[in-house]
Formats: sequence, structure tokens, C-alpha cells
Amino acid sequence: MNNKDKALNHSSKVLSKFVSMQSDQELIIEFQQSAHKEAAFTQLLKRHQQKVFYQIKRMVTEPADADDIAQQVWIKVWNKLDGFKMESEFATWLFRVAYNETLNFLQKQKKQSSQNLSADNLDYENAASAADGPKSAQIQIALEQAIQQLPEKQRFVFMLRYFEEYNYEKIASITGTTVGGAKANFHQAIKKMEEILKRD
Amino acid sequence: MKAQQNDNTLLDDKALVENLFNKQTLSQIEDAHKQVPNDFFVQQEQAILSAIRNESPKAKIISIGTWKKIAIAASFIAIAASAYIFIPSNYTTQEVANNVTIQEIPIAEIESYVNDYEAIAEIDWQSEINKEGSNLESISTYLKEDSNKTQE
Repeated sequence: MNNKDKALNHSSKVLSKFVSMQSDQELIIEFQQSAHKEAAFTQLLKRHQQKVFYQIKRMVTEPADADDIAQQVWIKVWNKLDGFKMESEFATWLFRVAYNETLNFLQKQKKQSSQNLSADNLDYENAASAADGPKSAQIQIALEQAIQQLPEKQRFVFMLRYFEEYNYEKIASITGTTVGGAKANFHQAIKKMEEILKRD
Repeated sequence: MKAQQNDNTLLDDKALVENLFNKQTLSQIEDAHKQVPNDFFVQQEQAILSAIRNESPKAKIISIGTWKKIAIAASFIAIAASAYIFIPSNYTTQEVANNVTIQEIPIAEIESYVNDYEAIAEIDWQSEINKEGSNLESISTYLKEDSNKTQE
């Protein structure tokens, strides 16, 4: 087999893999109609697991907390997927579940104890100084602190817009607000971070 | 990127953020968020699937529509109403009348009974006066005739 044949063979394999890949909608139908739900669910989990985890991790400082919340999110998805009516994209609905779970966690955490910023500072300092010089580490700490001081909703919107590059319609559906509200949240978040950085 | 194609303001928004805060710093923060141990997601997947397998099946909640809710409420009201109508009370009005003599009834109760009926009589007169087409003269004539008849 020459190189051309090898390349053709490889591309046909890739193509067949792509064609056989089911959409979220197809997997949900399979989940809802089949007795063997786990296969379809596992596909959805593999496909969206990382994005959900990263978004939660952007909101909570402790990775272990992010892991717990992500697991709760997926258990909730398993329990509620039978009733999912496909009125929105699966990813939007999934992020909405993640948003609610994260807010619940943060509210419980607030009640239990006020945030210990000095401890957080230490974590950021260790993480940042390991990678770069002291000046960039300081800037990173300051910006990270500014992000952490934002109200939860503004922080969530900022992360979805800047890091996930979601459009405002999707952000509005996830956070249960209007498109205008989502835009306002994003711009308020930037303004507030700027104020915090100037103040400090 | 698909999101960028459909969203003209995304680049503007990103530029706004990057002008205020260093782009490199932002990407360092994002890298820190994405730092996970090797096989983290494989382990997380296994933990989620095992939690789901170990979860006891929950009772299925059946949602009912508005009409079904109304029908259920109506049937409860019907049962309560029929119980009030059909279940005989132990002590009927007739039994009270047979067992109690006039001497046993307190005077206060008799007076209140008479007062109640007087009130009804007054209401009747008032309604006669208010009737359309009636006037005070015709009523007084009627009263005079009535008293004459009684004297005869």
C-alpha cells in the first residue's frame, strides 16, 4: 500500500467515524426510548464533560468542589433527561443545570463561612509563581481576585462570554435572563473588575 | 469558530477585555483553570457512572394536567357534600320537638326567636314599599282596609 492509499484509507476511516457520530438529539432520543440508557448517556458525558467541569472550576476556587458539583450536575442530568423536551439545545440545558448547581453551592458556602481571601491569595501566588516571574504572577493574582469579587451571575456571564465565546442568546438562556440583561452583566463585570484593580 | 461567525460583537467584547486586562494574563488564568491531573476525566466519568448505578430508583412522579386537577378537586367536594347530605345525624329536629316541652325552653331563646321573625316581617314590608309602582298612599289604604276587616 503506497502513501496515497494509506492517506485515502485514513481519511475514509475518519469520515466514517464522523458519519457514525450521533448528534446530541439522537443520543437523547436513544436515552429516552431505550432500556439501555447508559451507552447514550456515556456518549453525552464524554462529549460535554470537560466544558462543564472547566466552567464550574472557573466559578469555584477549590478543584475538589468543582469535581463534586460536576458530578452532581451529571447525576441530575441522568435523572431529568427522560423529561427533556428538546426545546433548547442539550448543551444550553446542561449549562443551565451547571449554573444552578454552582450557584446553590456558592450560596451554601457563603452561609457556612465568609470567604478567606488570604488563603486564596496564597494558592494563586503558589500557582502563578511556579510558572512565571514575580510581576506577571502579581498581575495574575490581582486579576483572579478581581474576578472572584464579582457577583456570581456577572462572573458566570463573563466566563461564558470571554472564555467559552458563547453568544448572548445562549448565555441568556443559561442564566435565565434576557439578551439585554446578559450584555449588561458582561459589561458591568468588566467595569467592576477595572474598579477593583484600580482600587487595589 | 461557529460562535464567532454568528456573533459580530464577540471580537469587540474580547478586544475590550484584552485592552483592559493583559491577554497573556487572561490566558494564564484560563490555563490554570484547565490544569487537571492525568486521567482526571476518565476517573470522573467512572465516578459519575458508578454513582448513577448505585443510586436507588426514585419514585416516579406523574405530572397531572389542569383539568385532571380540577376533576380530582371536584370529586373530593362531591364526596364531602354527599357525606353531609346522606349521613344521618344522631339527633334530628323532630326528635328534639318530641322530647322538649315549652317550659324547658329558656325565655331568652323564645325572645330571640320572636325578634328574628319580627325582623323578617319588617323586611317584607320594606320590600313591598320598594316594589316598582307602589306608593305610600296605596299601602296605607291597604292597611286601613285590612284593619277594618279584622274589626268586623
